[in-house]
Amino acid sequence: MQLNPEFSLFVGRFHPLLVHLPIGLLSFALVLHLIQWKKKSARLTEALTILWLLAAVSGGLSILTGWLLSSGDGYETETLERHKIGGILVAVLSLVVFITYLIQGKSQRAAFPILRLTGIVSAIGAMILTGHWGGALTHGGSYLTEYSPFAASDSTGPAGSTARQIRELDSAYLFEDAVLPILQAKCVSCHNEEKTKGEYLLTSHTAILKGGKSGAGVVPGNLATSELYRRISLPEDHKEFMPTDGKTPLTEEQKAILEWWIETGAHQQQRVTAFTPNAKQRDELVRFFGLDQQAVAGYVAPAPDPSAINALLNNGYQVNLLTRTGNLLEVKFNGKGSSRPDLSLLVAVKQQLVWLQLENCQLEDADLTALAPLTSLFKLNLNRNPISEKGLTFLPALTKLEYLNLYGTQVSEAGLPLLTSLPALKKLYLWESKVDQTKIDSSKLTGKLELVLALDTLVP
Amino acid sequence: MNQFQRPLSRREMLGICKCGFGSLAMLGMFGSLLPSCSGVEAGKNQLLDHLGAGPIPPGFVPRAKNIIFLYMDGGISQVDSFDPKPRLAKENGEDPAKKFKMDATQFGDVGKILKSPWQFNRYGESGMEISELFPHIGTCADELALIRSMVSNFPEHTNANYFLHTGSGLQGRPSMGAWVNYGLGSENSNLPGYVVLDGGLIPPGGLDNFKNGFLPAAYQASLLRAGAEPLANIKPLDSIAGIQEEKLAFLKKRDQHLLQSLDGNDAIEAAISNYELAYKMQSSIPELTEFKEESEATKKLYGLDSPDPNTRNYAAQCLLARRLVERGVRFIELTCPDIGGNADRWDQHSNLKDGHERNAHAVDQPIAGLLKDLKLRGLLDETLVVFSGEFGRTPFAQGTDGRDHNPSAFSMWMAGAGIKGGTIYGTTDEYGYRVVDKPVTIHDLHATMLHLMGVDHKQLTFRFGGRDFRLTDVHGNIVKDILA
Repeated sequence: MQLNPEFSLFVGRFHPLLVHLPIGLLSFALVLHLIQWKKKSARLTEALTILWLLAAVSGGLSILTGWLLSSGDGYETETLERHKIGGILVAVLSLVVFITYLIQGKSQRAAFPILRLTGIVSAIGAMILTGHWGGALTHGGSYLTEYSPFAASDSTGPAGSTARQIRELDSAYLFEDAVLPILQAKCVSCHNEEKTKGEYLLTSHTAILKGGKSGAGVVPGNLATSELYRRISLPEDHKEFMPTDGKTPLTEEQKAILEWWIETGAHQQQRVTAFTPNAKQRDELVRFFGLDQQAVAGYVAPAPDPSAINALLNNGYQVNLLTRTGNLLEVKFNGKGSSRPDLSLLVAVKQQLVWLQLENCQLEDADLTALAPLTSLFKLNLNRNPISEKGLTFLPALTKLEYLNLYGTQVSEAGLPLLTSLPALKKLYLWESKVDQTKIDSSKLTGKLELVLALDTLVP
Repeated sequence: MNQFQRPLSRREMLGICKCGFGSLAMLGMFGSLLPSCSGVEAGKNQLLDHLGAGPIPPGFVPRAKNIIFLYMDGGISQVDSFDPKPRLAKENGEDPAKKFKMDATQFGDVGKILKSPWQFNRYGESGMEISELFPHIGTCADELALIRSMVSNFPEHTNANYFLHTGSGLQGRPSMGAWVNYGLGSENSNLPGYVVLDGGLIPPGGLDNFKNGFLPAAYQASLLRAGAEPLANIKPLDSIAGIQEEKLAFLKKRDQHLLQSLDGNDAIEAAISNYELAYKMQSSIPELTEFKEESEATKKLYGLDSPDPNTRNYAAQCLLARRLVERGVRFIELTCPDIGGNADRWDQHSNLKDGHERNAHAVDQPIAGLLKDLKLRGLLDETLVVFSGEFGRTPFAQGTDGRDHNPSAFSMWMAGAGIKGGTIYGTTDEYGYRVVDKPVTIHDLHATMLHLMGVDHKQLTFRFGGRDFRLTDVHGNIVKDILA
């Protein structure tokens, strides 16, 4: 029988549909046999004869379609072999049982009772095993137990996620924490030990580099000859584009990380920072690890005390609710250079207060200690106040602070060691302050901090 | 005072059975949670009560608090500004009909393929290519997310303007600024939440581009004109200060009385708040439009010292926009300056070189100045700046030296809050005539803008004519790849 490969695959793909017929028929036959255990009934025997015939026929059809399907490659050979033998066994045994019924005919006494009993038991046993192997072929071997509460939690098997929570960019490994989880998410369902499409395995560093049927997977330092990269960067409608079959493609960000990893030598054990990422790559990594989401987005505060809010409103503050849920507050006071806010009122909402804007409020160094308890702040505007670095000693208490605006203040470069040591700080505004640009030791600045000083530092 | 009393009309009677003005936005935002009108009042967040009639909190932590929309009226040419096409230079003067299939154009006067009269330079770390029309904006390239794959549904100004501003090509829908204002409210009780800075040219379609549509009247744009009196009647007419106050107090008392007798009424509530706002603006507007507290360096940065009067005009609008952002105005739109001569906005059906050059010169330095000034003050972190026309222009000539309308592809950019700077999104074909990859519709743009303001475009609805309306209608996908 010579079919063209596309047509044989077309027919073959009916296999997953057809296999459920013998499964259902055999299960039903089992129920009838159990009913007939004690009390024989001629009617049930007739029904069973037909059931076993149908099971044998549908089993045969399943074998045929299964054979055609297996001609498409990518299945793990050992499991496939077992599945094949099991499937044939189910059909043959069903036929044997049917024949014993045929021989029995109208007679009350069973023909070859021991052969029949063995046939029934082994046919059903073979069906269960074959079904399991078939499932393992389609979904991967660990599919069934992956989320089992009894499974070992530190499993590093192919389906177990290797991604760990990254809290600091400096602690992340490029391959292990970024590249591998991307491949896990987008590629490994077809390129694992059990189902190795294109003979390309994407579960270990060596295998990723080695490649498969189409040649070397990754050539360190060479994007152009790295088949892995070529496949994912083709146009989506290209025949060779990966992932195929309408699975979710890699995002631009994920592609960029793979690209960067290959270009820098595709190392296995190197920290992200060892490759000295530029600001843009840093941003991308920060987004990839979700480090930018960890600050405010996930923070939920208890409901504020209404009297505290009233007190703020009555004293010239403006209070805005930042989100519908979460009780996060933004509090503003615009002194317009003449009026001063009563900072002691803010402590009452310290858990809710995440943005505080105190622009142009005539605040002095001594006033600022009142801000030390506001540890939920992630954004603070103190611009255009007559304050210097002497007043900033409260800042280390604000461990969540990401944005600090000090433009138009008297802060000088003497305050920089303190400011750059703030753990979460990402943006620091020091335009029109006393900071002398020439005295900044740029080696002390970490890449994650964006320092806005003057016009010429903005324009590259 | 009984002469002011009058019986209720049927319409007013019916109105009493509904809810008051203040709950409208609440209904839109929380409609699904709070089934009935009375439920809105009862179920209002306790916190909200204490925040008075303040803005409605958004659904998630917003990246942007304000939007500055730089409207490039008339349709800026993408192949001459932000989307370089070397093939046009190679095939300059050839017949476009032999190269690709053409749609009908507005004027049908199809000429030859026309190369861009301007060179493109690479800017910033991202190496973004921008034409020499915009040397100043070029220096901000790493702040921009450039979308080269915008598409519009309309090839004609009026419909395209309505579409860009309201999400519908027909007249009468609420403008995007009105939606933002309705959804989030103004943070400043002395200024309206939606301001249009009129540089001299109201776009085709007129003020309906900036209207509230079926939203309550308070959400429409307030127009501030360039010049000595930005708003009509902004100077009090009463020479003695106390008299005006007394008059207003009396009016308010009568209005309140009427309001009470009707048990709440939209129109009267709106009128009262309008009077109050107008009075407050008599002091807040002159303070706003005086630039005396701005340093010389800042004014220079914007180009207020430029020899070109149009640059000075637009620079003043841009500086005003920053001052409005500082004062908590949610949505600010800048229209184009009237550069005079035979250049009608960016709509160069002829004389492309002269018209585009003069328009670009008017806006380039002020816009770059605005971006840099916002950056220095830490405001770019919370302000979204959007630069867009209503459609693009053809890569082939109209006549010999113009370009016709092209809704099938145009470029726009966004910068600031929540935007991934230095990004280029989408691609056009080799002529810049049609989008070939990742098309972005006006609805997508609106959805993305609202998203950055912390509003889910699918949840911001208003019930009108028996239907829940949205700015994005039934469309809109957030352009995630340009978000930081």
